[in-house]
Amino acid sequence: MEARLCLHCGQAVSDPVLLDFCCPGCAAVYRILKSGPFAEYYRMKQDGVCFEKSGPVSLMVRDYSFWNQSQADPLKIYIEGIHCTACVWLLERLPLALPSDVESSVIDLSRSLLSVRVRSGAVRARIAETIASFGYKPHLIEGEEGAGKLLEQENRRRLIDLGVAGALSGNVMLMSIPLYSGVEGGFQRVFEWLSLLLAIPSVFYSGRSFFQNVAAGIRNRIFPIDGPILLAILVAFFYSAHSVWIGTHDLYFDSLTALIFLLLASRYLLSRIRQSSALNPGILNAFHPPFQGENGDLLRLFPGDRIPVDGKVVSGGAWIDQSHFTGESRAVHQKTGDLVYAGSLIVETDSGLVIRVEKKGRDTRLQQFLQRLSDATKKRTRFERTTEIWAGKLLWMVLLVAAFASGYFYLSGFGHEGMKRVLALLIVTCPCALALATPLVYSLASGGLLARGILLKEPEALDSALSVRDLYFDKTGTLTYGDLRLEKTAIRALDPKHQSILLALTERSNHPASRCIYREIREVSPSVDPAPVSNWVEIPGKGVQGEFSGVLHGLRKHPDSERLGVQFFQEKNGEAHELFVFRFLDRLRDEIPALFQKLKASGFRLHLLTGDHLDSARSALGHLPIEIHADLSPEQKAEFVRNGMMVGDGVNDSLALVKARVGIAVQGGMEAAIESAGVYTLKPGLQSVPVFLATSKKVRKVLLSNFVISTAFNALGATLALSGHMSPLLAAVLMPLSATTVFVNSRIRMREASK
Amino acid sequence: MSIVYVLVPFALLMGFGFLWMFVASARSGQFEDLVTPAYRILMDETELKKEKKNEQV
Repeated sequence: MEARLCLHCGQAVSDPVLLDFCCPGCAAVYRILKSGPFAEYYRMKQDGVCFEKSGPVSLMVRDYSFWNQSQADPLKIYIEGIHCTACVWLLERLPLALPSDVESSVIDLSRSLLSVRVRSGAVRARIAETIASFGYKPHLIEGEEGAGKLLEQENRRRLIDLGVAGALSGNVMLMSIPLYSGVEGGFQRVFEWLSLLLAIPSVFYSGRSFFQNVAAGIRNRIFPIDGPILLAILVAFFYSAHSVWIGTHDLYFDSLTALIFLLLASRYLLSRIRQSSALNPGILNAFHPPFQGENGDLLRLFPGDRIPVDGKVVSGGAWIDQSHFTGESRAVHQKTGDLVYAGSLIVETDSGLVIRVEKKGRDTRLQQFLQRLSDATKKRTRFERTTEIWAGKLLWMVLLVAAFASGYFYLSGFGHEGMKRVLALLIVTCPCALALATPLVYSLASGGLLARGILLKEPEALDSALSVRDLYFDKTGTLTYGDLRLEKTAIRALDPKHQSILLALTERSNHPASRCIYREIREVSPSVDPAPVSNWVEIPGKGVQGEFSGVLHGLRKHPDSERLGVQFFQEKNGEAHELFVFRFLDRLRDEIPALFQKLKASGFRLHLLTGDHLDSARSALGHLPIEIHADLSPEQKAEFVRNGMMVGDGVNDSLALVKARVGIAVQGGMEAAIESAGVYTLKPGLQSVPVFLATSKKVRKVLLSNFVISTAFNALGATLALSGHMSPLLAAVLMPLSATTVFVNSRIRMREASK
Repeated sequence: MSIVYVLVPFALLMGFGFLWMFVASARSGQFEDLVTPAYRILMDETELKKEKKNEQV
């Protein structure tokens, strides 16, 4: 029988009671939308474009009364759950639903931002409730963050400079037509002077960024990439102005203004491309919802929420998943007085949870971490530094050739012709591919990875990955789901005294085996408490131990390599007595067989590095094309990974991750993990591995193609310019064209990579 | 040919008129969002058509 699809969100329906919906949330939204003026929503959904897969709607009644404290108009709301054009249509029709509160509502898709103009006397909480009743999650955005506003202003300024340069350039070209057509006498003077006047604001207003860049370059002792350009502009301007004055009729104002316009256009394009990759709020907002409010505010939170601030629990309690901070994937119970952090997920609350806001926005632990990360990614890779050096050399070479050529032409009497050729040379040569496009490609790569939930400590990792042939994987938690299961009868067979000792031993351990034992005992015997155990210690790679009533008890990998599992022992008279053996069932991740096939096909050698017994590793993975190395200590693991890529737990495998050429941490507390690994994944699973490898290959390909395009352009352009086949006007058009080609090439191909 | 003395200033004036409109709309944030308007065109509202039909009748 074919699966029925939910009428609202399109997911498969499994609930026998709600025949047409996957959950009560979707049913509620459907009823609301169908009854009002929004019934068209469902037809538009079919006809429209979908950006993302939609999911079931969570039916949560929330308190939005704090929205009424905001005085903002327009009200800025971040909307979670926009997935198609119909959503845009629906949310922009908000005034129809709330005529007394909302005057207009406009969506900015790239940022999932809804901008609402409110009427006087509007009840903002009602706006939030209505949006929620449509099936979206609204978040109030705090008043414009400084950096965002600055960026907007800069974009605007750039655009206006560009517009002015374009208008002036067009008019100068118009003025040049009569001059080219051979007009003489008084009219010639008129048009020449007009071109000069129009060129002045073009050079000194629109072109001021070139002056600023060169000044900054000189101050910082870097050869400014705009050096030859500025030189060309100044030479062209003053020479032409002089020519107008003394009447030699040798003008270049059209080339000059065209150059300024086209260059500004290509730089604007570059900066917009760069921004669109960096500003992707999607995944960041999913982890760190925006928060409007102040420190000291009280916030009520519900199951399924991501905590938007750092704070302290004031009342109630909840089970919170803080895996990205502590590495523990089991939820931890936080109660009054405990600290909670932005980015954590609330799994369940008992009788509601209220926290007091202590740090918000940029000050939260998560944001500080991300900020440190983004500072680090500004570090240039070795490749970038090399290209910068070569770009500088190229520019010097161009200047030398220009100087030499000017001298030659001047001395051999080809003054005018020489001026043309040298100008064309200065204009057409540009190390844009090297100096501008290379950082662009790396930042597009980092941005694309971030959108997939992959955090990069340094872009250098992308380059290091190119030389990797061997991939090393940890077993538990990396290749397996890590939530080990115990054979059920195991716990029941233990006597309560032992159960309580085990609880104490495993309570503080992060090892998947400990967590499993802890969880199972808690489930089977909820009334048993942990025993008082002293001198507790966890030995990485070996096990845990502690003293109960003076007797040492512990959990360790079974010393007898013939027997698999974890041994619970106690020491009497210096000898270990086995009390019990736990055997674990661990599931291999579903994506592994296909993943290994793909990696093998791409030419990688796969290895397993585990501290587990050889037999248990073989039974789990023997059928796969992977070489197994078992019974390894952390130090031994580190020895293996020298020239390859290590994929493992950020904390437990930190030694190997550091020693490897590239380390990918797929779990563990992110602050610790990113120190040892170069790469950290926010989403569970191994998909990050092929994505990362593919991205690094793509980056190298795009960089090389940029290099080829740019070299071809430059070589051809320089030759044609010096031989007199290229006028300065043509040069002014071709150079920005080559730069734009390289930027667009980078953008398109890097976007393909992240599909 | 002296008509040129009228034509040129007029052309320049028109040109700067358009430039001023461009600057004004850039300042008011018209060019902020280059993504969403593309999708708005795709939205096809039959209610609008129904309204038009009602008007005709």
